[in-house]
Amino acid sequence: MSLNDLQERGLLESTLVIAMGEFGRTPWLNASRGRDHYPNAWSLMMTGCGLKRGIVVGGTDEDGVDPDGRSFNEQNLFATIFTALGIDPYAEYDLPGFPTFHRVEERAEIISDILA
Amino acid sequence: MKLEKSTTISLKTGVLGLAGKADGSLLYAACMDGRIFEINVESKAVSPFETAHTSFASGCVLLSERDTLISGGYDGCLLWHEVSTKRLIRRVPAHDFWSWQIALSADQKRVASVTGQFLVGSEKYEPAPATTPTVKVFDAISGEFVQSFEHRPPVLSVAFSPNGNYLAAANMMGEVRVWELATGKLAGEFKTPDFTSWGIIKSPHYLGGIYGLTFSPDGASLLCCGMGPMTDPMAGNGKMTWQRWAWNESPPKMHSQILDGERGTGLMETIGFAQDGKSFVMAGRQAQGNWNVALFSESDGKLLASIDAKSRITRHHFSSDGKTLFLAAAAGQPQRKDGQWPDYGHVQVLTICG
Repeated sequence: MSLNDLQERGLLESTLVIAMGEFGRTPWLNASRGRDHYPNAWSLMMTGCGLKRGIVVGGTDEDGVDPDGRSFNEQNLFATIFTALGIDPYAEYDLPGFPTFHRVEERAEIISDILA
Repeated sequence: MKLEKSTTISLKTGVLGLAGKADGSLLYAACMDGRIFEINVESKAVSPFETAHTSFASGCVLLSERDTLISGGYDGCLLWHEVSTKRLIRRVPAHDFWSWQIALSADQKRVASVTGQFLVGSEKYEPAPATTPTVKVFDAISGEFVQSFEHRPPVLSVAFSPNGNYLAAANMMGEVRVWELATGKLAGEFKTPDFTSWGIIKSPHYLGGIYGLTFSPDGASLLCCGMGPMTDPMAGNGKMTWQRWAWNESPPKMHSQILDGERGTGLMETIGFAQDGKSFVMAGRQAQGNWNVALFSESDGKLLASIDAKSRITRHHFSSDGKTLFLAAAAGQPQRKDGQWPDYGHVQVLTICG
């Protein structure tokens, strides 16, 4: 279902759409003319669920090698996802015999710039 | 016979296409930054042509008597360049997708380009049929379109017969077609399963194909090169493979292929005969083994000489005296160092001894 479909049906405000991979890819080419996993600097797209439109946060240097200026990690990302979905990102769970489980560890900062 | 490294000429990005003067004094390199360079082999001076492709430059051919170089690229265009001034003569949009490879007829009157994208054709993942012609022939002098042929995409390699009467093209599925240029009719067709893999690990899809294609000097057979099937499609460790097919027998037959004891693993991307027709070269990337460039005997197919070039070889060019072999190479790109991206393309010069 496309973003336009979701919007036309009034579902985009209650649906969070994320386009991302589990890894970035190297800005340089390997010997097979492909790109390997690269967790140092990568990008994703989110929309829906009341997120602001057309906002870009964070960035990399010109070559895409390193973060440049503000940057965010996966904890920031998941804190933002839970918040956008109306779920407390900092909830804790205690299960018998296990350490306390944190939904998002270390009370990671929410990326508030993109939240409406 | 022996292959010895003579010199290496560095280029900013990987080299995917190579052409040269008959005496080997000047070479022309099609590079992954889209640019074409002239290389003075003796001085190692490298000078760019004025106009670049907007994506990888994938090949180039030299019209030695006409001060003209034609290049193809992943932008789907063919560019005609004036060699002496390095200026663009014309740009011809040839395809909607990449030009994988180009070839020049021996009389230098025709240039052929092949294209095609792998798009899934059904639940069996075989490539979908082409929506536009995947093999096109142009007038090498005027740039005018001459004729086109149908072949299942992606079509990776193309070659003219030595007498210029036939054109052959091969694709990812190991399907080879030969057309008679005068009539446009299909003159031969065969399929070999030995260059294509079906990935059952990590991701189900076909990959591989015939990356290099050349007619024998008498035109009676076709040599194909690539990599044997793999179980893990990401491994790149299929066996280095060439096969020789009598394409105009009925039915076409494979007459010979590389001997098991003489090969390692890795994708072989280029194949072609030396000027005297007594030997041919096959080169590419080594995954395992002790060579990635080798000369084979035309008469019995046995390995005559080999060398580990330590880089992925993409194309080759023989000097007309048969004493020098030039290789286009694309190594893995090094990481940025002190704010600069080190070179990862080069042309290697090998001396053929004995």
